[in-house]
Amino acid sequence: MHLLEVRDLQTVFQTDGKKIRAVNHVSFFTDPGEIVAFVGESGSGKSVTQMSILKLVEEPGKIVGGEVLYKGRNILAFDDDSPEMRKIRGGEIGMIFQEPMTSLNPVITIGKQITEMITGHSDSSREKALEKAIALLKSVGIPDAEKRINDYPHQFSGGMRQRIMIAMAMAAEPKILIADEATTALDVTTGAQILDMLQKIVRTGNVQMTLITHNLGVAARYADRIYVMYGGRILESGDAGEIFANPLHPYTYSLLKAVPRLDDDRDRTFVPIEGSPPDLGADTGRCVFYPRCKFRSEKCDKAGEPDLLEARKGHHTACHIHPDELKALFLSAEKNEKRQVRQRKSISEDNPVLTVEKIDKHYPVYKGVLRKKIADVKALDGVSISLYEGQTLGIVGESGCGKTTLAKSILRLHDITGGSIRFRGMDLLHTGKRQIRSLRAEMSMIFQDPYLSLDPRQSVGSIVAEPIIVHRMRKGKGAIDERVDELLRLVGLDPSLKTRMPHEFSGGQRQRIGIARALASDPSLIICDEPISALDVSIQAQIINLLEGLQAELGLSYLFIAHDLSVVKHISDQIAVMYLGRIVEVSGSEELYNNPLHPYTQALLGAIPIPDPKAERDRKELKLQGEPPSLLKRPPGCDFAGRCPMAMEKCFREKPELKVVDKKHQTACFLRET
Amino acid sequence: MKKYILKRLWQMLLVLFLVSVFCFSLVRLIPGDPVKAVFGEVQYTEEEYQELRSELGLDKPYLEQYFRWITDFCCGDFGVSYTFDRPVRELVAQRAPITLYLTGISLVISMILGICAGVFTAVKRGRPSDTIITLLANTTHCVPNFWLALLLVFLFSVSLGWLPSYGFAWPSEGILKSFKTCLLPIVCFSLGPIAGITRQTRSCMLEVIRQDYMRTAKAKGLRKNTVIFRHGLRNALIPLITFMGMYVSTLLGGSAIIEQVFSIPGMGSLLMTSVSARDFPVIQTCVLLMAAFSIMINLIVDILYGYIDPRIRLN
Repeated sequence: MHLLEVRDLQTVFQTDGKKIRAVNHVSFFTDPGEIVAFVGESGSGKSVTQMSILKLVEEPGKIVGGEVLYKGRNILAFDDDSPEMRKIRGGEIGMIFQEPMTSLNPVITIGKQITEMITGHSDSSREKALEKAIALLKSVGIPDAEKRINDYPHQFSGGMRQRIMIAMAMAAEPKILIADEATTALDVTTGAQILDMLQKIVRTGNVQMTLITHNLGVAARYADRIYVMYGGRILESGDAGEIFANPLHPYTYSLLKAVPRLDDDRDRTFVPIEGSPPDLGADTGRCVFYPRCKFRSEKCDKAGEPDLLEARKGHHTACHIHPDELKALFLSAEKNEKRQVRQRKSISEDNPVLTVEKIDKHYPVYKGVLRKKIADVKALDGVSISLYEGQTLGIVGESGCGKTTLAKSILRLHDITGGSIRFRGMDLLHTGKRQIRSLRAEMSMIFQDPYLSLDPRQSVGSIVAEPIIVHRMRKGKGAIDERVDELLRLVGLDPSLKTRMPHEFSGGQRQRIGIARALASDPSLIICDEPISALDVSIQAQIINLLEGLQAELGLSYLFIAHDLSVVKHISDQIAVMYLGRIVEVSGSEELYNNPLHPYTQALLGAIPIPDPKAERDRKELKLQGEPPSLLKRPPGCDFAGRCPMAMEKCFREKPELKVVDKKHQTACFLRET
Repeated sequence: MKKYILKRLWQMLLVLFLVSVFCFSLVRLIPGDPVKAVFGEVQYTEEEYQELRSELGLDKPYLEQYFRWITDFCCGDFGVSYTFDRPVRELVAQRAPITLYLTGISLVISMILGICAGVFTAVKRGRPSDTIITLLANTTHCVPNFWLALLLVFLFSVSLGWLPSYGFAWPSEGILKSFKTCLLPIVCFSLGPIAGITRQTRSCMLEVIRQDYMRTAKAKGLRKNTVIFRHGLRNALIPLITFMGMYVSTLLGGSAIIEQVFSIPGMGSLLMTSVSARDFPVIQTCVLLMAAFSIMINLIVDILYGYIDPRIRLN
């Protein structure tokens, strides 16, 4: 008997007369002491599956079939608010949710939120519960737990809140822990700390943990077994090593080919999964992946939905094509996949498009009745970068490191405190308003969230036409229309769709519209602020390939801001690593990955999991403790010294300057100074 | 916190000053002569007229009249009523408690019923019970309360004869008598706010129910009621409190009409009679006191905010 066994679970969402089959005949099991990962993109049904187990699906969602056996008892038979069900929720199965910022109640102290969990599931007294809560908070690494127990959630950082969530989930000593994208909203180094801690809890406490994640790397690093979900169905399941080494479903295979890996060869081209995520409202009677599958055959068209069958021992797949046949197909695909060695761009180092020299951006902090200025928050502190014609400069760093502030400073969206910015030789800080306007046409921006950055009440054609009209790039309606069509074709969209509104497009298509808009003013520099982080993994590759193609075709220069080092590494020629408003390391992208010099870069690289369990096992890494200090309390010495395992006494006293270590590799670390 | 309250009190003084100037000018702008109103039907000579006018201080320049009134007001001397021939202070002391009593009870009742109904409809969203209550609330919210008052008087007092159609009695004058006289006014006072608070609570709760922390609370295995009241309602109360503060002024304003319909000797009816009699000191005092009261309530609401929402308290 398994600890948890789900049989033929079906959950539907009934909206507007449409039946969305979010969870479609899903069966799986978990055993004590193992980490099971549910991998899938948004809308794959991985979260709804886990929610259904605890009957937490809200209307209009409804569980319409199947059973969930916990220790042999069908818990779906229990009434929603019955004592049995409530005992299972939290008491036997604990959940950790994605958004630590919103998952804790803002008006109740964390102490109360944890103790109500303990008193609800046992008959311990309030005092006992409080003692236990403090012990739990200590065990998840909350400093000063005794004092902080009466604090409210907003007084903690995101990482700390997620630790509190974990303490709360563990409070009633559950046998199963479900972590629903528990680290997605956190920075990579913080996320790695949290997952390591969860792994320790599982290994020492014989708890079973289910990881719900879209990040294949996380699954590879932590999971023992993996279920791959797509369109509400499990398409493949098996041991983590087996799934990554020998994927037996075209979807898993394609997904692995589509995601950038940190240990990739820089010249590898991604093979995106073409098309868009499936519409779960339509019952096609075919395999859900059929429309996007490169390996589909006639059989797939007629044979109905494939069942999840055992192909090898412990390795199940839901595909009509025989595994051996598939293997052969995969092999020939790999051979055919032209290993286009991307043409190395010739970069003339004497032609910088953009030079940023020692810029500062300070925000004053006022206090008291007279609003006296007491300090400056140095959001940017002496940042210098140069970007050459046709080059991509990646800026990486965790949230709050000043990446976006830098982008805004370059676009002159706010004033800077000091330093100079030159664009094509022109001093941006001492240029009149009118000239700035014409320069704006040459610089444009692609934004992070394609759902928020397009005006919902403007048609796609008018969104793309706006920069053309504002900058007077074309005269006359005919000419403008022609240009809009040309731009839409350039980003791979059908120009006949230009009368539609943004909500009629998928996330990937919307980002294409955003790119078309950015290209509309014929810019030579595009600032890409996390352009793919809001997109699904299978779509990300499409956008990366598009950006790279456009660069080769139009000779664009990119300033590519992202927190995902594996993407940045792939797309950038140069990478600058930022920490707390300063640049700590600059180097060529290959060089940075092979030979990171700054301890922070090393830790950042180490924190990013690689979607390959074998590669994961061989990695040596530098684990980071703690979180970045507040900008208000910038340490006197090196900003990173407090978290640096290699910090020397000098590091706490003096600030290291960015110095050239060898050809084209600069770092700000005393360890590298001779 | 202390600094914040001081700042707010300072702002409050400023507002009250503006209100005092405003109502002082307004009573002098409306047509009608208070001196003539005092004489009423009585025949008078020009001399008698001038004598009374200077006795009332109305012959002085406006600026002087204002300063005399406002300095006296600050010292607690509200002047003497022209029509009642009694100090305004006495009048207010006699009538204000009645208005506060009736509106206070109405506010408590509407808060309790409104919040309960609002939470209930939010939880039962889309069910028949939600549809019925929400429809009822929307209809009630549109009904003018003076019309409702007339209807109720006609039905329960005139046709059925169950309740007295006018008057007011304190509970000390007999519980049953007091209950009978207060029932209809309180119903008229409360129905609007009940409907409004129900609608507001419903929308606040619906917003809160969708939040992630509600799902967390449910996943912790808490009872459904604990989830809704402990985790949900406290968050929903934050926007609701502003709304309730606003109702205090609405109730006070509405008292003018309701008290008139039921002939209740409260502040509202005092204001009404003094307006028709051009009784300047009474009008000015009533308006200024009511303004001060509702500003006070709003200050209390803002302070309460901090207690309910820790995010405001600490910033």
